[in-house]
Amino acid sequence: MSVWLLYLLLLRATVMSFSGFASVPIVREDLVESRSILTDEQLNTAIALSQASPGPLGVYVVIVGYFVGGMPGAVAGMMALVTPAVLALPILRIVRRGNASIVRGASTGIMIASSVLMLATSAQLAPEAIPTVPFAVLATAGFVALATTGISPALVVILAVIAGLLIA
Amino acid sequence: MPSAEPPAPSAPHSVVVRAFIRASVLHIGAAAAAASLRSDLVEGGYIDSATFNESYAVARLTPGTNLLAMYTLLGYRLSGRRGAALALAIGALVPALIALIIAVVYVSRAADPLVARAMQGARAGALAVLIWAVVQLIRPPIREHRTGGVALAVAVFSVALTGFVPQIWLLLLAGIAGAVFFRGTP
Repeated sequence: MSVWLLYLLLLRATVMSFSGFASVPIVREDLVESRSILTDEQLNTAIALSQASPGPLGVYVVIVGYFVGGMPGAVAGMMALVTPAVLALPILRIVRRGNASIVRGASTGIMIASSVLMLATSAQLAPEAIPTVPFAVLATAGFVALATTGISPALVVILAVIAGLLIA
Repeated sequence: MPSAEPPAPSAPHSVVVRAFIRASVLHIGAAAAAASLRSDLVEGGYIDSATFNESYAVARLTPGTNLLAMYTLLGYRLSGRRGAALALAIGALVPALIALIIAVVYVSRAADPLVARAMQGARAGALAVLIWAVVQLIRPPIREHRTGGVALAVAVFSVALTGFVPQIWLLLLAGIAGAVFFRGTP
């Protein structure tokens, strides 16, 4: 796959999302299901590795780009991460012209839809991420910890790494 | 409300570079990075609180990674287009380089059974984080638009189940529906 095409595919995912991981469903649909150039294991790994890096959660697309196309793919991923931010300045002008309600309404609709698609994608990724009961328990414990305590997602992943080493 | 055009550069590039490197390197996730920037820029007197809040709000409406949109807007307010480009470059490049180094190291060690077990644990943890991100993302709009939000979520889920409509089209249609039905929100 050409780097340019990879950039466009990743950009399509990032530009239609409003948070770091909201692009995961489109990335999976394009690269795993349609083109088979990425596996669920690699996608899961990219998400997990991105948790160990500072900065925005969306940085996982850089790792996805690296898995698909090596260093040039990583550059394509980074450009796809950066490009939508350029829209911030035109959106600032739209908001100041008094059209904020339309922009807010559209982003609300997209946020709801992308959440639903993320949930569906999580279900598709689950067999690879939690192949056995102990890993299912680990994921459940991680979710409960996130939901009930103020624990950082990065810490959940780090603790899961340690637990993974202990699970034979 | 602050003016639409950027003011005369209010901060030297060195301040922009320092503030955004600190936010990018020392913090994971948007909330912590935003707090770091507020501390450096607002309390440092380089930008006023209203401008910071406006940048945060507009970034939430910008597609893609909200944090990078906020970096762009704050860089623009601090130092015009060059400031925006600088802030965006720092905000994306530094984490991307760190993530890339981690990925390269992982690939070189992936065959090691110990690394494979650790990564299986990490993937289980990442799934938990992904599902948690869904909860975090959907809660505010559903609270704000209880009936319409649930109806849209059910509609998207039902259509997605059929597998006949590409997800990109589902998102576009949801955006149009949102612009029509949810635009009245103050």
